[in-house]
Amino acid sequence: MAYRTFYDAYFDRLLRYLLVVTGGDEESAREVLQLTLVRVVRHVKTFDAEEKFWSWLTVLARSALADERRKRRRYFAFLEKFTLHTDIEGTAWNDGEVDEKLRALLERNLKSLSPDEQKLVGQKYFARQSVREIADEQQTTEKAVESKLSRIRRRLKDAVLAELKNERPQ
Amino acid sequence: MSDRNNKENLLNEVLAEASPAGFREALLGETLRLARRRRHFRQTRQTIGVLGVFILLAILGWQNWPTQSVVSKPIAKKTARTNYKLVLTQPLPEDELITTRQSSVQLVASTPAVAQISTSSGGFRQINDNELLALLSGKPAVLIRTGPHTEELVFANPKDQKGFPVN
Repeated sequence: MAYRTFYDAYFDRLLRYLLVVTGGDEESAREVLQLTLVRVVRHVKTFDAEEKFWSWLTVLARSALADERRKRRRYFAFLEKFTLHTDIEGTAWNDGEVDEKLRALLERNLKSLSPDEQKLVGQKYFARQSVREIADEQQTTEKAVESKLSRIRRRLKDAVLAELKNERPQ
Repeated sequence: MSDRNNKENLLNEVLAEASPAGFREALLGETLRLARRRRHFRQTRQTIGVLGVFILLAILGWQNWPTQSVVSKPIAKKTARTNYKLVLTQPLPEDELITTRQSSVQLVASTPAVAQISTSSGGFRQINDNELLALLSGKPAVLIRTGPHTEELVFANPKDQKGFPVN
């Protein structure tokens, strides 16, 4: 039960963090998230503050990412030791930075949407209208609205991840 | 709900879009299974640890018990070499002892009820025909010779045949 509570509270947060740390590599982020959660189960301990716990989680996530990359590129282990490892150590993103960066990327890409799409996103996520209300207002079906929202989300995701990849240090 | 929360909600849904179906639940299930396995392993390890301590204590106790007699052996060897074999005995428990007591049966002494007649040799004498006839006290009788060495005394009165007092 405690683990479920933890999972619900930190799954999205950790995934966001890892997406930024991996430079938008979604597949890698998911694999590292899995490794991180396994390490949480293995090494979980008591913390007196939530910030310390999150800090510990990010350390676990970064070390899991380092191990994963080392495993993937075992033929270049020597080279990686002096390049990628320092890269990971150097990009010890804190939670605020990660969320700030992702929010900035999202806002930037929201602006790139068409006015209709921006309106739809606003109705759903900022005005908190239900899909049925939106469908009624636009005189269309709920399925059509869901489909449209899904396409927008997908496009936004691709754009955010692409920007993260572009910002990745070479 | 604040604008910040709305954006975070949107961000979460955007990033979760087109993720592998059931990834979140599958990952939860896998880590929960791992957690249960680790808990089971931890419990097993604790049980084994406790058992190990008990076994260790038992071994130590067992080793210490005969150590005292082993230590005393060299001293005995140094002092004297015995040419006898020491046998230690201990009394049997009381319930294993078998005891006897004097019987209440009375002994009865018996005496022979049969009268013994002893004979001694040489206590008789052979008499001749005349002496035999003299013993008849005048009773009428005839001595008939039936063979070279056999004779038969026949009384004339059948009552005399049964016996009569002799003087």
